[in-house]
Amino acid sequence: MSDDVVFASIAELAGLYRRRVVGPVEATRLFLDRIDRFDPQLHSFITVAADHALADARTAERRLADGDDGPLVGVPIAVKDALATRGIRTTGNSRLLEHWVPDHDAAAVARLRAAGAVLVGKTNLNEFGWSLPSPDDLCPPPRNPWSPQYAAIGSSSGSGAAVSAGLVTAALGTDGGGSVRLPAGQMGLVGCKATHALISRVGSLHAGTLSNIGPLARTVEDAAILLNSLAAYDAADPDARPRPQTDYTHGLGDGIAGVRVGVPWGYIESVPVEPEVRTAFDAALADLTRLGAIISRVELPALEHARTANFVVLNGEHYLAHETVLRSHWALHGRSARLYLAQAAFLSSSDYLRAREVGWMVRRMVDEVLGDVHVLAMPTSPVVTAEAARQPGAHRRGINASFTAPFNLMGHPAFSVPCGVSAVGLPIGFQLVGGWYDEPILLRVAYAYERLTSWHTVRPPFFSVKPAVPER
Amino acid sequence: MTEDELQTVWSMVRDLHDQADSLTRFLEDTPQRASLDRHAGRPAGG
Repeated sequence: MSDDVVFASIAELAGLYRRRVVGPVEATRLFLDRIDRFDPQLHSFITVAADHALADARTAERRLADGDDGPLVGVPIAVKDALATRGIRTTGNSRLLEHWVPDHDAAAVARLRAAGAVLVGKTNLNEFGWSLPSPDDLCPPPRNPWSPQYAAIGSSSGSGAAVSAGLVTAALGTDGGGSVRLPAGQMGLVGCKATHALISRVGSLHAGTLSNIGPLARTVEDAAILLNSLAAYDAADPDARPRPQTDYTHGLGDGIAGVRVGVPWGYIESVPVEPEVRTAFDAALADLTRLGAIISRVELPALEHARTANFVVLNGEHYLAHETVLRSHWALHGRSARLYLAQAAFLSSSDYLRAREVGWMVRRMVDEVLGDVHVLAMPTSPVVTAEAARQPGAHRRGINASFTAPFNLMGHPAFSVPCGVSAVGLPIGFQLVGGWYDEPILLRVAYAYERLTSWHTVRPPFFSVKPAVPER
Repeated sequence: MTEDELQTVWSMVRDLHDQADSLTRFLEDTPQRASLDRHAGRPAGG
């Protein structure tokens, strides 16, 4: 029964609760036991909030008994330790915040808690989400549950590892250049960066204009359920725009016959994409064609400049956010974090503004293309492992974020969906990108693909008794 | 900052400046598009 609970989707878990196969308290204890057993190897959590979680679970049991059938009631979740959590310490994996216990929840966390989710704990990241993971960080870097000899890619690495290993049902991460989508891709999950500021960013440690909060989930339907709860106008987020309420689960199964999918082949081929990634992506396109989608080549060479511009803007904004503390507490930062932060001290305001201008310009080009196709498709990551992504030269230039970072700069929604498993046993994802607020079509395409394939049902072999080989 | 840190950060700064310079060249190569967008209104957060 344990595997049926800990690897259940949100929708499946709700069914188990309804049929009284298990209740939120028992389920939460199962997850907490697994964290005790497996996390010393994985390092996916910085703080496990067992007492808070069991209190949340007891509240959820009362809500269920009172007839509350909300889809998130009693669902165990984890939250990246870059988001404030009331009564639970929030560190950013930095010694600077080792003992900070906020008196408030980040807006996104508050919405999930109000919907009845059980907050199990805070997940690991590289320090402040802006560095290479380092032994100097407050907590050691997470490992990839699919093959723990490999590191988990970040920066929402702990969130990805925790969901993937069956330590929680879903998690929140933050994504400034791919930090939700990249771990989702390499850990067999659905990762969503929604349209810029569709999900309130209030309460995130990631200052600046590019980072967004997003869910990592087992299935496309789970991602839609989470978006239903998370996507809400928040006047306290300066970039938020009022939007009509959308049911993101509506129309998931409507099929994709006639949906036009654009593939920026010229740009994809300009990036050093590993052969296994290319093979998995080609197979995903063939599957989309089988489902009735119309695949066409589009030209977007300027994505390269959007990737670079995203990196410049992130650098400038991280430096601005940390400048004062960096000067006063240099040695309290880990070595990697302080060097990453310091590099932008030498950027000029015109460097920054030029990068913003590139973003506005390339966004217009992308929107023109999205006038001809419904969605864009491309690999999520050019490489299979975190180790390949973190080669110093490539990492500094953001090569690993070639397909993800441009859409932070321009604000388009972009989702990663599992599409394969590599020879070393790590999952591979591909990314769908749409126009601003076009989340429903992304979810529809992703759902149709997921129904045709079974990559989302594969589990990390070390953490499950179920077989790891998918049937297509 | 140690000598090793200084060398590392200096190398990172050089990389970052190279990247910022590549954006300058890109904008210079497409002046009409840049000008259009400068006047087209700034999308929030985009």
